[in-house]
Amino acid sequence: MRAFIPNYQLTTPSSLADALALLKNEPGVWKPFAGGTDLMVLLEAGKLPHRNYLNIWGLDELRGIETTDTHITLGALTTYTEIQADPILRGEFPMLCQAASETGGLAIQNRGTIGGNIINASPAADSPPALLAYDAEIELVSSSGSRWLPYQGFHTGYKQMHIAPNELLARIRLPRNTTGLTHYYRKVGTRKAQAISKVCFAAVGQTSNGQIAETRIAVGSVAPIVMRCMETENTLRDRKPDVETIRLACARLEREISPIDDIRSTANYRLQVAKNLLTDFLSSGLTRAWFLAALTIALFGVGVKTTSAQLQQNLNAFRSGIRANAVKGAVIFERGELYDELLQGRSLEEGDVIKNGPDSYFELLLQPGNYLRGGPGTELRLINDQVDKMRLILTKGALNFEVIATESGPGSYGESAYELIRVITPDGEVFISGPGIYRINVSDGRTELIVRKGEAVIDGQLVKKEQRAVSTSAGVTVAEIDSKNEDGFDVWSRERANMLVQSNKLLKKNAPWAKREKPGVQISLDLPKEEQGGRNPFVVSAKPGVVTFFEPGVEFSRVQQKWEALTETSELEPGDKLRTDEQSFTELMLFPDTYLRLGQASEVLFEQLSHDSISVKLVKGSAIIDLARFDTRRPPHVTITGPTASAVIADSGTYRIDAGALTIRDGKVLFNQRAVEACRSISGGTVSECDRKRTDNFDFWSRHRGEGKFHNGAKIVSRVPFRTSFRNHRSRSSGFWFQNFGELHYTFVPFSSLLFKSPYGGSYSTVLRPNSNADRMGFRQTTIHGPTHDPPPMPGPPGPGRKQPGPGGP
Amino acid sequence: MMNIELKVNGERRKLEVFPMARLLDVLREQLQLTGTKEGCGEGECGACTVILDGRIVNSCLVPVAQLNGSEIMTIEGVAGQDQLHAVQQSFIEHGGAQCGICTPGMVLAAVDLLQRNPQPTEDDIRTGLAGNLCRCTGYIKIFESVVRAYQK
Repeated sequence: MRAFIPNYQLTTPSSLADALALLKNEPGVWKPFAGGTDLMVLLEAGKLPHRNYLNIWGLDELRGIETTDTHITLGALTTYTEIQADPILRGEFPMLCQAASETGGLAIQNRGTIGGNIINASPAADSPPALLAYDAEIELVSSSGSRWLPYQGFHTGYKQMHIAPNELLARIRLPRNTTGLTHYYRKVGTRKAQAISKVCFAAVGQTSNGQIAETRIAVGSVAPIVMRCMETENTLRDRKPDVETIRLACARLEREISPIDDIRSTANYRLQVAKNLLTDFLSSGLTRAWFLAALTIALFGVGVKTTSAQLQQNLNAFRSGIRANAVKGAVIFERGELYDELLQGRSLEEGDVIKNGPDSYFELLLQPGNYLRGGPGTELRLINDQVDKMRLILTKGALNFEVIATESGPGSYGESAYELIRVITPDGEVFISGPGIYRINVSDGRTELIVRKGEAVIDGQLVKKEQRAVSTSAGVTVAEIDSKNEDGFDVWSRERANMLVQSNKLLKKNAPWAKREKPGVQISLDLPKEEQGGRNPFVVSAKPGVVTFFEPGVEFSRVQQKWEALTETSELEPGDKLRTDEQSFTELMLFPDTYLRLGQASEVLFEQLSHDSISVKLVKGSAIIDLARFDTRRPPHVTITGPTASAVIADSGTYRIDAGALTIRDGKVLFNQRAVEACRSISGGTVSECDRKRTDNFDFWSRHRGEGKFHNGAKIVSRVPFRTSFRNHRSRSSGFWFQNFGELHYTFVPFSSLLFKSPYGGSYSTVLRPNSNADRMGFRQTTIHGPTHDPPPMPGPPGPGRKQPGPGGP
Repeated sequence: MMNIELKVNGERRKLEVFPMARLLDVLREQLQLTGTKEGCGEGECGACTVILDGRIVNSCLVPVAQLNGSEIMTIEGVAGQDQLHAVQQSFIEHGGAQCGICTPGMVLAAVDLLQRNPQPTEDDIRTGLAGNLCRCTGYIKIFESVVRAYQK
């Protein structure tokens, strides 16, 4: 019911002194009345208790914003609109401006005052959290003088505060010491404008050496007063803002605040939101370095859910993407305009550059199970971070790759199942596609590849275990190495490798999935499903010229049109051209089981491209046609043309077109109406013998994609779709990166016990799902959702010594 | 009772009022300016928006004792002598008004917005009108009216 207006007095004093005299002479009779945005609401509702109000709105002494070198001081009558307009507040105290902009709407902000927000003492007030986080002080004046006191502690209980009846709040001042602080303010209400907050969270913080050096956190609407959360702050001090710390801090916050159910929200909701905001502040606001780690996990990570709904725990785990796992010394990280120190936990993206100082090292997580380490003086750029198209540019320095092996046994993976890692240096290109330890050194005009274990390729030269190869402008030379000869970088790499195997071992006791849970509590691990890149290799398209491998740098053009990037959805037509740049490859499926591959810096023209007839003309560079199935009853018509000769393919096989010659590495062509069989080269009008030796990286890349054919039990098919699917499956079902509580780095955890071994020694023996005896081990209640449930690919090839590869594991 | 003097829509007015009387009531009842509407009466809906000394306020939240010497513009003062304000014209042309209760407040908030910011972005418009609720239009027609008004 509306109040009876004539009952109310609203007296306007002529000056501040006049007002203070009135308050002193008639203590308790007069209440100050400023913008009226709270009191008039009560009046309308008939709930305005007092009768005599002192109109202070016109007192100029209480207005204005003053700035000194150390403080900014706001008159109590400063409106929200004035706060938002002040350049120093905007620059140095953004949370206060944000609070002002989110209080009411514009009409309210034109009338509501900062002093009123304090003295009205609503627990849901929006500017007090910011004032507390900024360590504000307030000035109370009376006719006998003035006193300054910290704002923190001013409110003592619901609508209770340290102010005498003869005192007026005159000014609020903020110390100008916010340089370097992270500011985080979030008001959660029903809508952005006009709503009263359900939770209002303001925090500032700073980290030093990865630890929280200083933080001040204040929350509104979760207690009888807007409160500073000192206990939570104490918990955070000097800790790294990792998942464990966040968990602790949330637990502490829960004890510190006391939200209630009311008309606007519930205690449970407020508690959860307060914890979420604290988590967000710590994981994304405060610590931009760690942050990505925690954030990604919260969104996509492995989660442990229990049936008691409250106990949901997010684990520190991930599967895809490249991340910094260890950093020693000063390492610089560049992303576009961003120039920063590389910190442990940083997620890396395509285009990122890492630069090592003279004494520094870094370790990156590549595909699950594979590590990349960088030595002193290294400069590395990530060109492509996709698991199956990993491409790096090493401009100087040294890299050590650790590619872990899957031991033979039931369900073993052949080497063809390893994804290719390509490292481009100023003088050459290195391919790594199998387990082992590989070092690449780049210095003036030479690239050196040292293979301690495994096999790798540099510029078309296969380099075996305990060999080193040097590539210069003069070519590649290979020599034996002394495997005991290690430098500091090798030692550091080996120590890291051992430590990570140990980290995995420690999980046996600690891993959340290994713990025996209470009866009735079910644990389930949700592993993120990953996007399946590329087309399903088993879908046979109706169109010729389906893109099966592409990467940045591959382009096509239509007659009279501009070059555009090739993607998996590009559809080529007769007359189209296709080209690669100096660092890219591409592959198209022409017919089912017939592939065209294009080498680096190459270009072809499709003179014909239809269901029954294809004619490919090389413009520059090199191309390989790989034809797995040649149906003699309905022979496909494939013409290959180089600059000097043209031939028609007459059998399944592998055919390479270069500027100088056509090479029939395997198969048969018709050339000038006569058959030419492998292994021969056609150059101009001459046919000459050749050998099958692979001469460059393009050859090795083509082989890695899968050349030739095999019998899959029903028919002859190409290796390409099988390999692609096999690798995808191995990659998806290998395992994930996991960060144990208390550890700063991630280690590898296989999905199942296939004996994943580090080439440095030791195996990753703690797995998510044990081989057998699941019941006895207490795993009966564990359900796993995710990649391991993917169906295995098509049956494997009847390779030598191998039955069904069954990559799905036991 | 107290005496105050204020300027409403450019006209000087002397009034005898109760000090705690709401500007809204003074406008509607003493000055017969009923264009200003009362919605919620507690500063939520913006229907009673007027421009006070160049800034929009909710007239239901302003006690008249604070207004001695002030200048007020209500919806009645927005149009010129014989021509509607661009915002009013635009509201008519683009369906910015339906039942009409929010319209005076919306128009004043829009006039104020365009005075401060003649080329507002969509965000600016949403922020500028955030304190004015409409239960008919779904706001899109209103935003469109404001955009068309400044495009003229």
